[in-house]
Amino acid sequence: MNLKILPLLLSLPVLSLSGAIKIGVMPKITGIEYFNAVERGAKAAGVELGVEVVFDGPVTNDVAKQSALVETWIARRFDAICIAPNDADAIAPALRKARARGIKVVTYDSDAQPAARELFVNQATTAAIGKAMIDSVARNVGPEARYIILTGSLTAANQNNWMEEMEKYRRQHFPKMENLSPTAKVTDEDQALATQVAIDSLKAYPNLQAIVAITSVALPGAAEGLMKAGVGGRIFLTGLSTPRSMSPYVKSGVVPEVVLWSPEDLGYLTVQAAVQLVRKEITSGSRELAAGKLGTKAIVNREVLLGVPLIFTKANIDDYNF
Amino acid sequence: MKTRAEFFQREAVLALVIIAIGAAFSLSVPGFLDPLSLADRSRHWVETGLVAIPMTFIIASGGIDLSVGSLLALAMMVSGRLHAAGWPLPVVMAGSLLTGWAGGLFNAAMIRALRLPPLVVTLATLALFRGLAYGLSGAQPVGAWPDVFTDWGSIGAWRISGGWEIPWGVLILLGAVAAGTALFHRHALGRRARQLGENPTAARYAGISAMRTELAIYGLAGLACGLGAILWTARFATAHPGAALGLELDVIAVVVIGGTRITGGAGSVPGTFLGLLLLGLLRYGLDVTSVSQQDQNILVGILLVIVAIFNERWALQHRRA
Amino acid sequence: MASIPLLEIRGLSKAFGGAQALDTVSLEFRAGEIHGLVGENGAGKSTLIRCCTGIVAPDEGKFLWDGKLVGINGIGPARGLGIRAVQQEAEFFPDLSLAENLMHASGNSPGNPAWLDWREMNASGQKALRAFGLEFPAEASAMSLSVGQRMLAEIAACVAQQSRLLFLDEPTAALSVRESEELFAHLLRLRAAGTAIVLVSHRLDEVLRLADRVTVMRDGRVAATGVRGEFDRSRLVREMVGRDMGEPVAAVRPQAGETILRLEDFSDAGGRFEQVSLELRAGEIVGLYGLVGAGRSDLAQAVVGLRPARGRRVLRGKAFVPAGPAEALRAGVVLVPEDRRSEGIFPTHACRENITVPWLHRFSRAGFFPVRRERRLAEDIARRLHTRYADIDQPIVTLSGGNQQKLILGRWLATDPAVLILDEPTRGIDVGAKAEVHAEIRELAARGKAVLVISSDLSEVLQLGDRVDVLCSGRIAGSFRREEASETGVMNAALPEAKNIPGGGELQRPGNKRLAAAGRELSTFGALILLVAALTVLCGRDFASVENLLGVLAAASLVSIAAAGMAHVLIVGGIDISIGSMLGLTGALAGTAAVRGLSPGLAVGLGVVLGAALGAGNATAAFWGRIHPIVVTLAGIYVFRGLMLRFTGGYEVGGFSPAFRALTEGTLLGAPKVVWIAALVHAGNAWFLNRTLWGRRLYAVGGSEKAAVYSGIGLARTRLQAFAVCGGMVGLTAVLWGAYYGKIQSNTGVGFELQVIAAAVIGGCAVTGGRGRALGVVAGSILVAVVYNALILLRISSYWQGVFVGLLILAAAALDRWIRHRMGNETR
Repeated sequence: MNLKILPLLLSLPVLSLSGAIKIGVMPKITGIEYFNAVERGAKAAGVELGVEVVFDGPVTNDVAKQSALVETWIARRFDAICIAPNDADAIAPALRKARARGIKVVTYDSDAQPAARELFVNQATTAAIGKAMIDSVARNVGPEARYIILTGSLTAANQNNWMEEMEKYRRQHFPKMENLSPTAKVTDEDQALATQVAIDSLKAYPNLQAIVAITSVALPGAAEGLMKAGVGGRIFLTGLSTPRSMSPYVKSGVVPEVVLWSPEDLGYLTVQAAVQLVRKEITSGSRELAAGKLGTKAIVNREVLLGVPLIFTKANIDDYNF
Repeated sequence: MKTRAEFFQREAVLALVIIAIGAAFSLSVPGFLDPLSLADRSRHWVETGLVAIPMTFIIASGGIDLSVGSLLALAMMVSGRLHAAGWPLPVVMAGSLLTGWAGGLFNAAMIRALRLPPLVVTLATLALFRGLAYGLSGAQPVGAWPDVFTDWGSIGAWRISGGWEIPWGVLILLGAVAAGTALFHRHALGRRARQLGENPTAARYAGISAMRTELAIYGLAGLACGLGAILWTARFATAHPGAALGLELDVIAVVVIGGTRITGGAGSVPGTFLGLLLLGLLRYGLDVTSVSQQDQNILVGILLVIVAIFNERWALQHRRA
Repeated sequence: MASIPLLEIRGLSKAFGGAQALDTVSLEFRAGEIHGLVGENGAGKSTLIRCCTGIVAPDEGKFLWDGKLVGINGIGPARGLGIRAVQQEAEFFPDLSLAENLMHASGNSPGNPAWLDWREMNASGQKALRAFGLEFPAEASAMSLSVGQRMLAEIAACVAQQSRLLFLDEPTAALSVRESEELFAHLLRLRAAGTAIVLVSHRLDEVLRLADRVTVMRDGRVAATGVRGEFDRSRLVREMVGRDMGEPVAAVRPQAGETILRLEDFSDAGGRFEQVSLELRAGEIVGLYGLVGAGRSDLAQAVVGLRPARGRRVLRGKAFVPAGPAEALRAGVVLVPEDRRSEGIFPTHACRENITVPWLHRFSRAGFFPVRRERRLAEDIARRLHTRYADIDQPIVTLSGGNQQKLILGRWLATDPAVLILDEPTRGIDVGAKAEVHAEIRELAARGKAVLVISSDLSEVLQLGDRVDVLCSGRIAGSFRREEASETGVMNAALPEAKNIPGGGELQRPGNKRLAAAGRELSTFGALILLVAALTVLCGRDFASVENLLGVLAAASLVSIAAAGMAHVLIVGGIDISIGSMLGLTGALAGTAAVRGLSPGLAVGLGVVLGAALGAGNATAAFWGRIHPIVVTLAGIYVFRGLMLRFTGGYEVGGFSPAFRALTEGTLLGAPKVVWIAALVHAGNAWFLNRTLWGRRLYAVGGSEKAAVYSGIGLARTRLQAFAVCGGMVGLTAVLWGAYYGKIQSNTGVGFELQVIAAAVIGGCAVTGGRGRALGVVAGSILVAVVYNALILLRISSYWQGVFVGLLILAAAALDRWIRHRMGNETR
């Protein structure tokens, strides 16, 4: 019976084009808009640079599956591995292994332990993202706004860093602003849960004025929640997400402003960095990176910075196709 | 008529299939047999294998344990808290094992004392243990484990010649398979578990204590979770409350593929180990040939059903003759 | 009345394995006559009934109905002719009401099958009962009745069905005098109305009093048949016993030694036997004879602690109160149970393993045993008992019954017990094997064991017993020494007479037990109300506002719809853990169709159809492949999710039209639409589960598979229906999910199965099948949603919610268990 599967296995495409550089790009989780956009950018860079880009990742945001996949890529002798880790510490052993076997490791979107990678491609500095979101709240609600934060999981390094920066920036510039729930509400990258948490939080914090949802899944989920509770537009909602999936909410005024960078550009830049590391055009010690259509990007302290965050509003949201 | 010589035939078929798949992949994919990758890859299946061994006892006894993934996470977070509080490593490890064991005993006690179906009890503890893992840790992973410990888990191995190596975790698993095989096929515990699953009434008349047997096998499953938690922590240098989510599904699939009857009464620990090899090899090969995770899941699901039907037909044929 | 017989049986034969249960039996049953059928246990009476009612297909033989050749190949055709039977052990659906049991047994439905009329069902049930002078309510659950009450109710049902030929197998075994008299009065009335009645009974007085015609069966053949006048009690007994004694009585036996085990005033806590006194001496065989229902096996079980009992047990001068067989075994008292198949063997396990069960530890060190040694020891025993087998490792079920019995005997002999209780040691084995087993039993006594042989085979008891005690209706009705025991004497003592029958005849009212059954739903709601009250106090208006409560209901809605479907699968005794992935797949497919312009109504239809197809696929794979649904649906988790991602390519399905979103968005009369939809679904579900024949059949199949088969309910069809309905509900949930949350994402539905099963179990569905209600599912779903809501309102981290849900499931299941325990008759 199992023999029936064998011919199928044997007929699978055998991807061992000799000589071509192979780059693996791994998202935190497959099947969400944000990483689909990253994939497009990464593939585009691959075509441009004449390298093979494999994009694959876990079906749930599971660091163990990521780690297993990294090790498979090591076995397949990829030249570079680009990854957005679900946990900075837990992914580190696998990445260190890859480096020990001469594979270049680039993290993007969220960092691992710095020792475990060559470069981190940062979409925007954590400070800039934190500032953009707090500024958005202040601009729309006022300097004494009371808000809560919805996050994906309490173990994602980038999200924790953004929240830290938000708090730091708020204390410095808007001392009368208040975060009602010092521990952020968790939504587990699950839109339905995000909706429910948003609805219930309205009850738990009756004097709530704003919600900041800092993942691309939590933000549309929270928007649905506000609409269901009938307070769309009255409770200010902002956060990080892709413009295409947020477009209806922005147009209806439930989410006046969305903060993000271009995930396509992030994927593009990541592959650029990885390929140039492999081709030894740069090292982790280099000062700058010539990133094709994105121009030259600075490398500071082994971090490549994509740029400043973009703010999407009703006026410009249709200009973006991701 | 099933004779002794035929007893291992099913296992032999499984082994042949594994060899065939392995050969097919190694011929078509360069680097498939890379010793280092095989060693790396095998580390990922250690926890599944460790838990699958006692699960073979449990399923053979007519029960099931859905809570193993959650219990592993709970044991991990208890030991994580101990570590964060500054306790030495041996105490931390003992904490993990004890927590796992206690969780397993809790399952067995609920099943016997309240006379509830194992499915309901372990569905409840699936939620309960995971909730405790998150709650006790405040959903925070615990990092900063000593290098000795994490190196042992992530790269430590018994190095044979020619670049071949066997990770310590895999050695532990092999030891557990040997011990599990002896316990299941050569010890009263395995015999009692199978008899309980085959005919609980006859077992009672024959003086077999269901309570003692279940305490032992669910307790063993708990211990395996505790041990798995230690290995997981060492491998990822982190104690993570979300660890081993859905582990129960992989474990049950491995046990069923290995030929253990889901309604109880029959099982095989070597079969379970072969089931683990089959699933692990298939996943590895499919990863290496760039079959996406979701397509792999389709194949694994179909494989599971085919093997289960095959097992049932095989058993029927050999029962009737 | 010498017209054509109603049913004429010609040359009926039936063999089970090697045993010839019926051997060319020819008989006639006439309209307007009561036909008494008597014979020893195992004479073939029950098999005859099962052949005539289509439950068992005969190997050979013909049936003539009203003089015309008919085929009775199934329960349906038999019923069509008007043939009904009340079996010896009435097969009932324990959780269903009496009236409903009667409905399933009858195969007719009151009113429309799609709109069962409960009032009519209860009224007609009550009418049937009252016509029989039975006063207990038809709505009482069958579980709450005594065996006798159930028997009467079932007879009442058959009578109400206007059957033309009615078989009654030992109807009075569990009845009191008064009840029996009432039954007889009815039988006479039926006879006058032209019904043919076949009365099987051990109570010869009854038979002689009522029957117009009498047939005696022996060893699967008709030993004698004729009109009543030709028989008297002594002739009946003679014909039953027969004259050929089979094997010679053994030679003179040695003197019995000291008393090993003594029972004094030993009574069953459940009343199955009373004030039994017995003495077992070393080197002596005591035969205990009794007819069906006399309490033989109950006595044996009580001795080794399997049944609670009162009175004294003295083993070698010391009080002997074992907690169970294990402890009895250690004290040297062993019971070889009656039903080899269900209580004795481990069928697919090796002979070797079956032999060594209770003495494995003898040749083990720290629990480990050398298999080679085990094989040698087992072979020694098998050989000593002259067992025929090919390989000591072959499954025991492949041996003949006689050889199985020898091995089981060998299993216990090897423990070297002081007292051996053998319950029906030769049932269902052939003559040669029987003689060998008997020789072995004598050999045992010769070696100084105290042996008690319990049997309903008169010749066996007489051949083996140094003394014979006779149990009749739970009491010792006679004691004979070997030289004074005669067949007729023993049989006379064993046959109950009217004065021997215990029981005052007062029916217990099942009313309070009914309340306990309803208590299950009440308690879920009770817990809900308590929780709501507590939260109102704790959180005040935050919680107890219309707005928040509606929000909770909205949150519960989607889960509750899927849980309503899951209830069908759980009730029928299955489980489907693939529904999370099924939700994703159907949502993605139907959602994409909607985005491409399919109208919302059709999208809902598409989702339901797709879901139903997937559910039916699960059921088909499970039942066709004969694998447990949990394995199939475990595979479904992987396959459905994989197919979904293959279809979507990893992209979310979203951007639904406002018309589609309007399926669930917005409010109607102040409440969210999704709540209304859920309410509608639950109303429909309540209708289906309570009011349709197809719904009620789920409970029947889940409650008792065997009784369902006797009632002619198709198992496969009913299960397929349950899984398809569950899938359909999940498909509906999926489309509503898309409308409610605005998109279907790759991980939509991951872990959903656990939420749904939890809600169903908390709402009172039993994973073992047979129980669960539409309303309970609603309450369970809301309870879970309230807990989630409360955690956020109380600002408890949502990470603790698993703890609360887990405890809720355990509490609900434990409560369920407790209520059923209170109601009694729980067997598991």
